[in-house]
Amino acid sequence: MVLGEAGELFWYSLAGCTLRSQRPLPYLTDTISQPDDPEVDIVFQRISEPDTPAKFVYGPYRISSPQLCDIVLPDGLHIEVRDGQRMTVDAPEGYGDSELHTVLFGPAFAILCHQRGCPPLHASAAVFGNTALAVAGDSGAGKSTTIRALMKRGGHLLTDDQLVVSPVTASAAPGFPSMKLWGNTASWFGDALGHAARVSAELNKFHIRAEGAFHDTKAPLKVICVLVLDTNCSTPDAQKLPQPEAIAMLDRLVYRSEIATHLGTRAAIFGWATRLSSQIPVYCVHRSNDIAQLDGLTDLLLDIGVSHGLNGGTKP
Amino acid sequence: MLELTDRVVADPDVLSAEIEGSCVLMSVESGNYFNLREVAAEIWRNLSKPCSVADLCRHLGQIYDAPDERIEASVKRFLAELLDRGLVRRAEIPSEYPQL
Repeated sequence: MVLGEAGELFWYSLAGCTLRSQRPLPYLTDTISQPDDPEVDIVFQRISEPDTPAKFVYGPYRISSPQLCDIVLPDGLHIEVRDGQRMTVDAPEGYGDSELHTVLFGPAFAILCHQRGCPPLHASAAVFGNTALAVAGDSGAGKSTTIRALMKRGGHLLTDDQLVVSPVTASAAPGFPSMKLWGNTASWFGDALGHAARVSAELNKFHIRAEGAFHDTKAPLKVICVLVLDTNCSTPDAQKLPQPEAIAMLDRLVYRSEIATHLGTRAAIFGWATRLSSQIPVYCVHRSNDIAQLDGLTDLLLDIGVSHGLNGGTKP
Repeated sequence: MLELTDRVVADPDVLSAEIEGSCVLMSVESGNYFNLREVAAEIWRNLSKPCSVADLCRHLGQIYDAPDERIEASVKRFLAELLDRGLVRRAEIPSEYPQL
């Protein structure tokens, strides 16, 4: 981890927020905006053990109150997320930037979004002609792989794994300019792994930068396609969900919705899903895990997107 | 088995949304979702406050053209299912106001 000059601060933009950090965060997008009162402060310091035990513990999450959640990993990384405004990082000596990014802007940022009242959808998104298509799904559904395939068809990455979208304006906010891909998938796309950083030391999964193909401003979201892995699926197929089913699907696919009750946001998430489902069509898309089906899958997604106002996408 | 004098109320841990005449429910306890339509949705709308089975039957009798016995049997069966799924709970019968 690289240290800045003493007192130097680093400014970034993520999911519509301005972040101020005491240390460089090389996987985020710089911003020239430096407000006196940024939405999020990221500080690096020792975190002392709390006086009272957490009220709820779920895996690495220790929730003391809706406004205070700690994430403590076995490798010694400790991140405190407080008030939707502050993330305190206590990282062991020599902790890597890429591994820190995985946690800080994965689960920790998701908790921060919950605290800020903007629950992140477990989704990646690509932009075509300033309009966005989101690919949602559970872990392992193939969100990043599908977005990478859509980038081969002219799309620009908007966000990977977490999507912050306004249920009022249907505007989707940009994430960071990289995506997480398994090594064999990245190689299949021809992405060089030489300088790519691992998501974590144990995984053959990498942060792949979207060089020159990142969309760094908000974009109107036209459709959400929920990927469902179906090993018996010979060709990808899609079905538009009636609104009641769309509500259930979006509600369930909010990132870390399983701990939302303890963050005091369960009812807000349900309301968010209800409003979003009235703004944006939601499709359930079945796909197999056969990578040879990706062209057919992207054809299908682009056809769905264009039918709802997505601007473009090229045929191979 | 529910009696006409029994009172039920929506469980406070059930979230609901009104969508084009139907009610979408989410049980925080179980994580399950439900979609209630037509008569079921009408029953649900009346359960935001404690309501007796008799009052519910009377209300539905004013809306739907069906024999009282059939309405009562259907309402009891449906409420029993809601109870079984933890979407409603029995409400206490209110004691009479104390006499001054």
